Amino acid sequence: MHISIVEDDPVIAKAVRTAICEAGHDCTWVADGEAAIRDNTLLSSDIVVLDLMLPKIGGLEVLRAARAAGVRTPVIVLTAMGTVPHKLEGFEAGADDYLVKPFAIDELLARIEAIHRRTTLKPTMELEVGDLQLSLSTKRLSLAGRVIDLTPTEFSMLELLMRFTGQVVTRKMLCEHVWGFDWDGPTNVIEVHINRLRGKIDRGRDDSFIRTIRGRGYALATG
Amino acid sequence: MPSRLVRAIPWATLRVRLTLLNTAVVLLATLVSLVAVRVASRAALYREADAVLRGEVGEIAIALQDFSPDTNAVIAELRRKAVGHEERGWFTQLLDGNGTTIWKSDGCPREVADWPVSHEKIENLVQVGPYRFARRRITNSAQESFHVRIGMPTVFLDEDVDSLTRILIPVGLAISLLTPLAGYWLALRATSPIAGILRTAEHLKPTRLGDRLDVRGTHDELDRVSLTINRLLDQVAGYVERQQQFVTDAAHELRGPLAAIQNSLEVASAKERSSEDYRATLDVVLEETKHLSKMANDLLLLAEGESDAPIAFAEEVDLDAVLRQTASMFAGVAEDRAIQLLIRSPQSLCLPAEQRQLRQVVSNLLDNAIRFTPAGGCLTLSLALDAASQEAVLSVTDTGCGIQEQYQARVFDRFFQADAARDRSKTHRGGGLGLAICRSVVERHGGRIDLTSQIGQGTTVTVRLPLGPRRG
Repeated sequence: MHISIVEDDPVIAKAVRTAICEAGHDCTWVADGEAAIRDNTLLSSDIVVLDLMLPKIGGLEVLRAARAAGVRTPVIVLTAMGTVPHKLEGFEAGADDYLVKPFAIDELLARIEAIHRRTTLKPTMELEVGDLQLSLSTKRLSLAGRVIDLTPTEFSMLELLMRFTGQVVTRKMLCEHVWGFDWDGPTNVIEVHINRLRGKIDRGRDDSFIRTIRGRGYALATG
Repeated sequence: MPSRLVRAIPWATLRVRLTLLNTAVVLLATLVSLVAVRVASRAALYREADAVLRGEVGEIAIALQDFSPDTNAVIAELRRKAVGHEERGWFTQLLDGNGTTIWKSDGCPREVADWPVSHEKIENLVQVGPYRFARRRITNSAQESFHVRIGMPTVFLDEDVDSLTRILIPVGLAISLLTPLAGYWLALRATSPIAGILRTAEHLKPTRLGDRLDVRGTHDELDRVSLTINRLLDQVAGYVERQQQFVTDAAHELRGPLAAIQNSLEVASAKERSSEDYRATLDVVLEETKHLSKMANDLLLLAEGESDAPIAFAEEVDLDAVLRQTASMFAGVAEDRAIQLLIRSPQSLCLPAEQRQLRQVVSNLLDNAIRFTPAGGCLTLSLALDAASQEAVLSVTDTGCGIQEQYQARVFDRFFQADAARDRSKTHRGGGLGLAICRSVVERHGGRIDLTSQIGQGTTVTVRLPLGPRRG
């Protein structure tokens, strides 16, 4: 997949580019809005990560111009302006997703994956990772054929982890997914449920399915 | 030259405009009253003259009745009377019943002498050209009719009116000259306090908001203007002070994590280290950076709340649902720490609000309660309707360590943390903004937040939110 990042801050741009490349995608860095329009960045990419505060021509203008020209490439907007009116303005200009700076790179990667999946794959009712089989229709988990009872919270968390197998899922993303609210306070309300989930699915295993990535979040092991 | 003068006058000032307006009004009033005086005086002079003429005619009529039917005696009598009259320009005319002149005095003008006799009225007054006369029809004892006319030239009356006018015109001119001057003086007097207000206002600066306008104690409109501006200045000064305090506090609070980051990086880069050491440093830096990000988000949330007028929310939010959703988020943690989480919410309670913000409030309150409640404690979340005040009353009660009395009033202040919360250990570490955000959100919803606490017993935070927009 070819991803372009339009961002004037070289530190952020390089970090994002490195992370995207390490996730196995191509990544091009475009430093300002004028270059983005000149090079037709939106048309030549699969997904575009677009900063709004750009020199010369702003991100919103780039986005509006491309949408007016009929370019439908998914765009994730990055900005330091996190208020609801700002977000609405972004969506009205044609953004597909919105991330407020500072953001976790893992979340950006997850959102890129989610958009990629949405635009390419059919929705699935079954998730399968190794011996884990999660049925979204019957809300049942089976591990190597054995059915395991999960609470709705545990089910919801495992679903998100399985959707992003091998990738880091942040606490904030889990919170948003499970409770519809991205609370990011001092108390770790996720950890308890992750530990219980581990207790249920890791029985008899040496290493856990769910790895803790210090300071970032959790990731489901691929095998 | 005149155009230079026109340009030199400060037309835009209130003073000049007041003066001009004042002058225009006074001049118009003067003109109207001078004209009225002239008209009224003229009418009075004529009325007086008419009365005299009528009197004379009346006297002659009585005399004629006595002398009739001897016409010659009548004429003699008229002639005798006319001697006195002629000195004043008066004239007399005697006519028979058919209108033929029997006798007239020397001064009787042709216009009057030729004026036809009218039988319609016994007595009236006629103006013929510059002459005015009273006339009367008399019937003597022999049933003979006569007409008597006594008149005068009105030129004397008009001269009197004109001489009055000659006095009125300079008076009018004097008023026209004095009015603008007096008007300007009055306008100057009225606007000089405004000039004072302006002078003070011009010296006001965002950095020097201590100055206040003089209140003269006259309780007039200008005093009210000064009072209003002073009140506004108080508010602005308070606002600016709060903002400055906010910035200072924020900068101060940002220093902690920044120092931690800087020191860790300095130590790490001082010499070659093992990759485990580098990883440990990176972990610290990442942790502190996240803390900074969280603080930045919280500060933005608080800054949004600085517009202190309560907002009208379009969305109806069920507080009961908010309570239960938030409690479910913390249920796992509470259970893990052997803290009982009770919900006492008998009914759904809808009010205009923003759901995310209310969840933020309840989350912050629960988070605080859980962090400061030891294992085996109990948290009670309750929601009730205060029918009298039409408010939803939401409270979070814990059996935690409690807050010392001297801190209780300050826990909703930004960045305030009692000593226990200053502890940078994981369980207790907050940003010091949680309760400030709660207060900001609650106040934006038109409600209020209070706290009662006893050391060793626990703390109750109570949030009261109006069910509808507050009236008045």
